[in-house]
Amino acid sequence: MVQYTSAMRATSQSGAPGGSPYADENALIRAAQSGDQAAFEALVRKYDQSILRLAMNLLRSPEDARDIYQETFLRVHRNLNNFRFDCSFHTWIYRIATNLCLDQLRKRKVRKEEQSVLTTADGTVDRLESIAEQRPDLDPQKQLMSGQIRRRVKAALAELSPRERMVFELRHYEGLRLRNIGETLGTTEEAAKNCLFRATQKMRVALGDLV
Amino acid sequence: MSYRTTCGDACKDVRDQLALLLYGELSFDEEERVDQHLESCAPCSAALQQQKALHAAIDEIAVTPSPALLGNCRDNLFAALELQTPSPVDAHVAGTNSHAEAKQESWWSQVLSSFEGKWTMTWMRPAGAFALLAMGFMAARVVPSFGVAGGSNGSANYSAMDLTNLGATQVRNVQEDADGRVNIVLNETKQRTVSGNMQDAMIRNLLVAAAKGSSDPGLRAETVTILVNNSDSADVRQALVFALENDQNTVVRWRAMEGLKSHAHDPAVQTALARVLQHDMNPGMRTQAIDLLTSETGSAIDREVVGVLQEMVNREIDPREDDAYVRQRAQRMLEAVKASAGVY
Repeated sequence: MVQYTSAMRATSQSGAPGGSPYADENALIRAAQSGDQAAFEALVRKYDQSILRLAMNLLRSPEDARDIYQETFLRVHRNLNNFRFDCSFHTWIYRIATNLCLDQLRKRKVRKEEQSVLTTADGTVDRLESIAEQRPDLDPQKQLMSGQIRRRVKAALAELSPRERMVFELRHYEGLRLRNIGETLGTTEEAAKNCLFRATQKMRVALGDLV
Repeated sequence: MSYRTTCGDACKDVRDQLALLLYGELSFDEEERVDQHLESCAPCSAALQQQKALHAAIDEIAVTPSPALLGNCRDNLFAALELQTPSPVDAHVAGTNSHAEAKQESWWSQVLSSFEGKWTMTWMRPAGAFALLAMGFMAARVVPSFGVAGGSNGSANYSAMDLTNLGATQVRNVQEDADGRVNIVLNETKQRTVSGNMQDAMIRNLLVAAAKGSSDPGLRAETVTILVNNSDSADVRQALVFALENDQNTVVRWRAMEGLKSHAHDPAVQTALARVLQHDMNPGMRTQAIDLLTSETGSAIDREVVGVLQEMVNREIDPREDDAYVRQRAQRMLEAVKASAGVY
């Protein structure tokens, strides 16, 4: 297991490490498996932004996304020595993250969808809008989009089943091919395609009058 | 617009495939069939354009995590990893000292290793034990600690916590009981919980520090929620004003403004509300700020605030937002205090 100390934390706060001494990703993974802290940090930095984005878009809650992020990489850390290179590291790490997200989505289906809108005595504040607002690169065009369309799209996504939601997320927002999605979710490409088909049909029915 | 047309089954089949076509997930034969149909069917070509527009609308709600959130996640992860990983000393004792671990040895393990081979003589062991005991005694003298003291009549269950050491303490979590007792989890060398009510200066100071300095917006929001119930205290009010003016998170700013509602007559609060009017990017915040400012028509209005109201009246209206409402309320306020709408 990787030995982790405050020295590693210090480097994590000082920005991306300099030129990588590892020839390729496999060398990086092997180094991390043998206990190289810098290699593990490099792996975290390589994948953590997309894992956080995936969780944020799926769960629409910064708190839940933070939990998924933490649990995903703790599991990666714990199980790194079990990674046998029989799939890509990207697929392996996404498999961990998507399973955690699916569990969370299923829990929500049971205890009703969690609202991303905070209701106060005098109005509402969308917590994700507030996160988006912090983006320095926020495209002004995006601010033009009406609240109605945003609400309709969010509501339509929330109506998808957890599996449909996951496949749609991975295809539409993450840009993964169906073959990779099937591999990540432990199913066939055909099953993933059927799932995406159902999701897009539902979205079209729900939002067809918007455009 | 909708997809409904008078087309037959062929059109329906093609339209069902349009999303997959845009994703590039149709087989060669399927794509060929859809393309051929689109060339000869105008309604289905229009439906393809609608599908593209739908995809663009769906794209619009994508969220990119802020660098602050990502940084915070990394900090928490690395802190958690550090806690759960056995220290290099432990690994050394367990005889698992790999090459990589050896590179990470702390000053302590280096101290230990410097004695390797020299402690094998039995007569030196008591001397070593005495040295360790002395070091432990000295460490206990210099490291600040929370004892568990009292707790009766609402006092905090900590003792001898040096207020000046707060800067080295990170507030990790806050929670308020139904009876008003506040529990605060601190990050020091390890996490611990201190409890007390809002009359305790230490509890208030920790909450104020968390509201101002935590990198976790969720924690800041929870902290501000507790502070708003105690806004009669000047230091708490000051923290709320700071959050209202400076916090990056709208939820935190919103809650801070809620907490300052009953202090809208306070000049410092009025100035903060005026700055919200000028600088806050969120139209909801600006609307609430003008409502609070204009609710105080009976009291004196600070000259700076009047200047901001005049600026609001003369500012070009953005039709996308609620600036017309803000301008109208500002104009009424200026009339109420008999100030001109022009430059003050």
